[in-house]
Amino acid sequence: MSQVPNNQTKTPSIVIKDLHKSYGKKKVLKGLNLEVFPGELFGFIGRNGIGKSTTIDCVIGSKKYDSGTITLNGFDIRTEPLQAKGVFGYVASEPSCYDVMTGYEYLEFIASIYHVSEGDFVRNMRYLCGRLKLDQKELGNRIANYSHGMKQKLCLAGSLLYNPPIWILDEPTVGLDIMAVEELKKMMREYANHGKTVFVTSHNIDLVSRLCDRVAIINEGQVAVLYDLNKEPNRRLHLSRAFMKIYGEEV
Amino acid sequence: MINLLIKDFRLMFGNKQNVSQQIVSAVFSVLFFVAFIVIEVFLFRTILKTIRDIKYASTAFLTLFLFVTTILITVGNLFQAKRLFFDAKDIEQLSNRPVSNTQIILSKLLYLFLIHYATSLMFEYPLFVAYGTLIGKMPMFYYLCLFYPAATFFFEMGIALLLVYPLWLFTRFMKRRFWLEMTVSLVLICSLTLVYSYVLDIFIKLVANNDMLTLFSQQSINGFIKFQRNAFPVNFLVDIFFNKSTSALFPFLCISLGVFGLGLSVAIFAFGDVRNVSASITVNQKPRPFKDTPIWRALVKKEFSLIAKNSDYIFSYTGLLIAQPLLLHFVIKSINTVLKSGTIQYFASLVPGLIDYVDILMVMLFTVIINQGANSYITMEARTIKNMKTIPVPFSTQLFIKVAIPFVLSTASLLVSCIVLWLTKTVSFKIMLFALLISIVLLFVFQVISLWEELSIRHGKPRSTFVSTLFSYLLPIVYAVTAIVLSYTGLSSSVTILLGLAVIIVIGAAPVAIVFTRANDMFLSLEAIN
Amino acid sequence: MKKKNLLVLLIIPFLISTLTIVSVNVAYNLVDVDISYIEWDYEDVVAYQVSEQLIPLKAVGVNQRHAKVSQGNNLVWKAANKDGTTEPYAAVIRQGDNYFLKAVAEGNVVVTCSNQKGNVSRSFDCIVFKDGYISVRPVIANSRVGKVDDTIYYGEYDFDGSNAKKNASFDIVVECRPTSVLSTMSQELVSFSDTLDVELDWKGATEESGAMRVYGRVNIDVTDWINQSSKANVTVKSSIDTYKPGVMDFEIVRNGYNVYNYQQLLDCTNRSTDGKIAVLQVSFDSEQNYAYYLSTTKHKPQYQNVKCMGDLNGDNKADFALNNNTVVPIKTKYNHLFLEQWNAANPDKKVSLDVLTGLYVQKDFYGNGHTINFHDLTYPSKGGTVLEDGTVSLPELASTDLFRGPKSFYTVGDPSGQGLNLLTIYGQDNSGMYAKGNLTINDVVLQNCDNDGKPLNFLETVGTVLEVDTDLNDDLEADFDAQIAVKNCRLSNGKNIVRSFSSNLLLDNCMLSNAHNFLFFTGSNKYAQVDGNKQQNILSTGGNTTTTLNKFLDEKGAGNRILDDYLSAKYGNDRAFKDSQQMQECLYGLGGKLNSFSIQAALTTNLAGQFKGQTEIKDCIMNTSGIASIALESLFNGPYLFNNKIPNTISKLFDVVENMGMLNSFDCYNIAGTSYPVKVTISGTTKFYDYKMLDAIDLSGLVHEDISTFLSMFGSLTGNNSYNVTIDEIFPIKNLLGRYVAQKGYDGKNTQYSGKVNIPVVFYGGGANYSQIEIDKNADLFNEDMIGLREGTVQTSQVNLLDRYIYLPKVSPIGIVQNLAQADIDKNTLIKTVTIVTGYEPFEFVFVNGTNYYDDYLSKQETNLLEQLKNNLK
Repeated sequence: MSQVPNNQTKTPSIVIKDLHKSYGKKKVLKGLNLEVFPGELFGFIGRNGIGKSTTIDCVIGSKKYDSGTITLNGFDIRTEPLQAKGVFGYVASEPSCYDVMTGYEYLEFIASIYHVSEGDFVRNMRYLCGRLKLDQKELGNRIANYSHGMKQKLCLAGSLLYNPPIWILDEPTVGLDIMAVEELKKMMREYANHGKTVFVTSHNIDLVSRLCDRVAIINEGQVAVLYDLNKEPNRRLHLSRAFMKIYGEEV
Repeated sequence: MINLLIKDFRLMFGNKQNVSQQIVSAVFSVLFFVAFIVIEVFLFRTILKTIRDIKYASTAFLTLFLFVTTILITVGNLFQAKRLFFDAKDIEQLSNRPVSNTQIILSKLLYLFLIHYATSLMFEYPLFVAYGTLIGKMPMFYYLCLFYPAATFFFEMGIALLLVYPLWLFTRFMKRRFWLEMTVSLVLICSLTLVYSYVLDIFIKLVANNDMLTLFSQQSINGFIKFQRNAFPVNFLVDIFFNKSTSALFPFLCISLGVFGLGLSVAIFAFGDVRNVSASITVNQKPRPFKDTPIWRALVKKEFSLIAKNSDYIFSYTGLLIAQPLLLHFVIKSINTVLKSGTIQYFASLVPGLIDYVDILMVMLFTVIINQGANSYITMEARTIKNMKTIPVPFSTQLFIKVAIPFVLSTASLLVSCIVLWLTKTVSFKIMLFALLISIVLLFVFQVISLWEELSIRHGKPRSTFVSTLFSYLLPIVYAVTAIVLSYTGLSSSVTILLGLAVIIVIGAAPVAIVFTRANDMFLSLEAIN
Repeated sequence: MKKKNLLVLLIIPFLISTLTIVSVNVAYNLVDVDISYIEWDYEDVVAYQVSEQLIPLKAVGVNQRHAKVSQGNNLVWKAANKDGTTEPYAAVIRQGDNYFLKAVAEGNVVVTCSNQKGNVSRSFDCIVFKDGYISVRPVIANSRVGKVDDTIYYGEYDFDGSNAKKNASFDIVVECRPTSVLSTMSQELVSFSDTLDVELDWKGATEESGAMRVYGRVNIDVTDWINQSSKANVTVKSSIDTYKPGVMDFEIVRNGYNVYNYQQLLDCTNRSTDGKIAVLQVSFDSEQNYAYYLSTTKHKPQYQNVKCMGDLNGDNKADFALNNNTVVPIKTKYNHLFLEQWNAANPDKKVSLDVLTGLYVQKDFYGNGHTINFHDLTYPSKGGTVLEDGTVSLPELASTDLFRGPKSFYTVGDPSGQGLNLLTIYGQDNSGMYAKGNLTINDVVLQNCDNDGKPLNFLETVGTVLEVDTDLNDDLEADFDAQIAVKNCRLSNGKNIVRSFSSNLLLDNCMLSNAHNFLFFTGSNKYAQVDGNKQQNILSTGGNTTTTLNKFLDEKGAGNRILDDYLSAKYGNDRAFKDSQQMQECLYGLGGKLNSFSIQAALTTNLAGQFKGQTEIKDCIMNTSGIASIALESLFNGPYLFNNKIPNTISKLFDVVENMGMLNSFDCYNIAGTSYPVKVTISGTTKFYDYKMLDAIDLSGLVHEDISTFLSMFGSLTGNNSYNVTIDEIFPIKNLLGRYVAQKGYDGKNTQYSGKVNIPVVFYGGGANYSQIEIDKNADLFNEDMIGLREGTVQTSQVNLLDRYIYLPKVSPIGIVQNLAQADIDKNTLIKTVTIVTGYEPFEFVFVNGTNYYDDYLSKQETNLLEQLKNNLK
């Protein structure tokens, strides 16, 4: 049940068709369908253990899925993994960077993998560190000694270093201080406004309701509801009620 | 208090391994411990028997032997205390619990006493039994000796507590400077290797050539007797326990308790102080201008950092790689000396080429065992597995580079070892070549099996290393035994060795084929922890 | 888990090396065993025509021993021109493990096959000819172990019946190849020395293996010894110059008798009152070797050159007995005062004063390289059996065995063998050959037995190989103008190899090997007895006193109390001396220096420089001894030998034990003294190949002791009868030697080479030893090769038993039965009794400088030892 946002007639950047995924006998995704369009800040929310991370893992090629297709900017993640992985930047809920490296060495590593030119690397790094308040001197320090928040900021910088068309964030605000969260919100918004696709999952209903253009709530292995918050702004106020209703909770 | 003690035990002996690993690890520990005690008692008894009828020589020699064990146990206590007092998580957990400092420290001291008593008993009591049976002591003597380890606790633990805080500060200082840490560790490993070779050399001279007499000359015995006078605390303890002189008791107690008191106060101060010193260790490395490097080089650099820059690896892999040529040379040279001396030479001559096969076996075992230190390809990634899955680089390339780095490092070290063995004429050119060839093939198959085990990690359970351990130990030994049997039946050594090579290739082919075909799929099924 | 794996790996070398100790205790077997000898089909002279063809060289290393042959026993071949030129007439070519001979140019070559170690070898002469050759040689083959002196000797006479003689004659064979050469030869073309007459049976010429052979006979008849030369030759020419003439050179020994069988050997020696000059033409081997030789050799009987040493009795065993001159008794000239006193006191247990010998030689003796093996006379007939695990049990004496070990110089207990023999100090021993007179022994191979590869202590009772005696008027001094010259000989396998007491001896270009004790054992029979009545100044309990030994060492004398305190190590104000230093000064002196007021000094007479015999060892090879190569002996001269009724501790014990019938002790008085010195000179290229592991030194041959049985007899009364007092505890020379070897020796020179020591000389201790040894100026050996040599004697080579015993504490009494309690005897007291018997003079050991000499020793091992002796003659 996918709805096309009215202002977008362009081709979707993330297309999930009839996605099925099970762990042994337990079926988690039962024919999920979804489309996300460039320039859109798309929220993907759901109760714990409902399959949010499983979906993200399938989308970024970190997990195998039983059937269905996933394409990113037209590249099928299963048949054309390398091309598909070249078009998105991903930030996990837990920062995943190498303790033995220094922050700078980590960014260097990411830049080399995505063939970032020297000029872009310097420019983007300076810009991103500035926005995320990552002190340049800190980059010379070993990641093992970073706090959780600093690690998360480093991963955020790493995910945008090569300016990917699609930005996928899984619970990005975990461990960030309030200023960092606000800054991240601005960056997500700006990134979407620059025609990029931002796909974010979060427990923070408030953040999603205020920030996202469209929101999908997942239940029973499928998209239960899909709201276009630009079209129905009042949904932004009652999103948590709708969320609770879907899972049969007392409102 | 008891629960704090139990917590400390769990903290120190807590086990992340599965049951089979714990069993294998326990077996190895017992094996190693029994072998060590057998050799220690044998060495002690053999020397004592030779010099016992010279006046004062026995007690002087016993004092020297006990003094060496005292030093080793004090060093052991020092590292135990460091792990116990300065465990970051433990400090964090206890800081906000309703438990007083004295309770914490008392539970830790009780733990240290129990460990000290157990270790001293295990290493020193066999010496007393050997000494008693040889010199002829009354049964009461054996009962009294049970209190010896307790008597040594105050002085030895006092010294350990005095040094634990400076040691902690030094390690913290070192961890900030990677190259300093690397150099200090390498110097430590090389000096341990040289000490090992020196001890081994003396042992071989003592035992293999029956040279007991030539090593214990009048001068060295007089040296022991002079040394005994100032070998505190052992000289006092020996007087108390062996010569039953009570006059030594009082000065001993004063000094020991004094040192213990001093050490304890330093430890208490350190325990309090350490909590507000930020545990973070800042390393200020000036960023270099970024150069766009090709993907494979970036991956190689990453793998290299994971191995080289991780201080745990220095002692279990990188350091040993550097020490391997030296270690192999000393071990093989001494084994050859042994197999070519005394009447064992007669048995060795019954099997043509026995010495060569034992040498090849040693090269194989050392190569594979040391490589084991770097074959946790996936486990070492821990949280960053998801990175591997999301970056646009084929899994096969990433896995290939992951396996290639340790393979190249181990092969380089193996090559240097073989050249050293050949140049020092420890082994012949032909045998060196065969050893190199067989070890490389074994290493390759071993790493592929390890990769297969790593890729089979599921549901957060630790990797089962049963197959790789089996492969790394059993196959070389089975190979050596078959080679010896074949050569006993008259087969020429070259044919025997090539046959062995073929067998390893055949046995290794199956796992290699499996891994090559299913690596991608297995990698994908790996669960990322975050 | 990985670090633990590595630790287990690092423990492996330690575990393996502990195996060596376990394996040493498990298998007492023979590891360094070499092949017995080399067997092949070649005759003594072989001829090959010059050609490109490679002639295979075939030989087999025969191993008659009980263990696996060690490395270094593969056979290797060498060829050397007989005339010493370098351009090879024949070359040995090796292909893999096979050897070939290539005949290159005309000339005579010696082809030698030996094991890689070089200590077993055999050669044959090879004539390389282009067109043809002629050779002349004796029919009976050369010695199987090769000759050192290449000259062939023939005696002037042969035996004719038992004692009559006739002019000597022997068979020769003339060989030529190809067969056509025979036609160019005739009797007219045969020439020979004027002392000979040669008849050749040309008509009887026969073809054998491609060559023509003509047999003939040479008759010797020297009519005028002044004008005719002893050198003779037979030359056979061809009418065509291309064929070089065959020549046989030999030497005629004036008044020499050729020996072809055992009876003739006895006629020259044991059965002859003044002895005859013997010239061996055959070897005399043990019965077992003789039987084996007959079974394997393919040659015709008449060529065979080995006979059995001894008469073969009914069951094919060589038989020796005193009554048929196969063994000769000789009264011992060594100090036998104790035995005389014993025989007088114990008429029912008399001990013979005679030593035995297998061959009593009084005239020159030419061996022609042949062997005399006294195995069946000297070797114990029981034991030496091979057990299943390859080890060999020690041989035991049967009641009928004649050689039962050395005579007793002094025994605590019963020397006759019927009662307990607690401690015996040895005197003279039996000998294989006893040479007395002014004579020469040339190129003979003497061995007392076959002991190849077995440990040296199997030679315990086989006696001396060669005893020399130039004390012709039996005044215990070497006659000034008499000398025995032993040249080019190979002597081996005996308790001692050569023994020379009060004699003049020249050992020239000989090889002495495999001795249980010493290769060369020398000293003097003459000694200066202790003067018990002489006024002496002796350090006693209260300080120096002037007294006589008769009083001082009497039961009531101070010496008795001093020696008692020494035995039980009792010092203090209420004892004889305050501390052990004073005791040491009273007994002998401190730090190995004789204190002139000591008891030992009182017992000693200064005989410096009064030499009673001298020996020169020139160009010899000294190879493998149990203790040392050369031993300069001197009488033990302890206070107990002056008066064995003191000290009380010992005499009380022996009295009590005697009453219990367990020991037959016997009082004797002043039986020892100071030996006169002898002089030994080492010259020429003499070499000492006598490296042994320090632990392998075996002192059990020096003294006989049975303290363990003695203590066990007590033990049987107290239920604890297991005592194992070893020779190394009683005579701890080896332990002290080990201490000395471990130090650097004098001014930094190293006395050992990776645990191995080489002791060329030992000076006996106990009593004073004034003997001297020196190295000739132009000898190969230099002074600094020998550490601790007498001229430059330095204290470091001393092994001082007193230093050791002075500290030996009294251990608790070993559960002595109550009635012996007052004897207050314990193990250490008994052990210290040894020094009271032997005396306190330190033993002095001379070492070869470890490092550089050993490398030379290793390199020299490659060239075989026979070749080294032959080279010395070139």
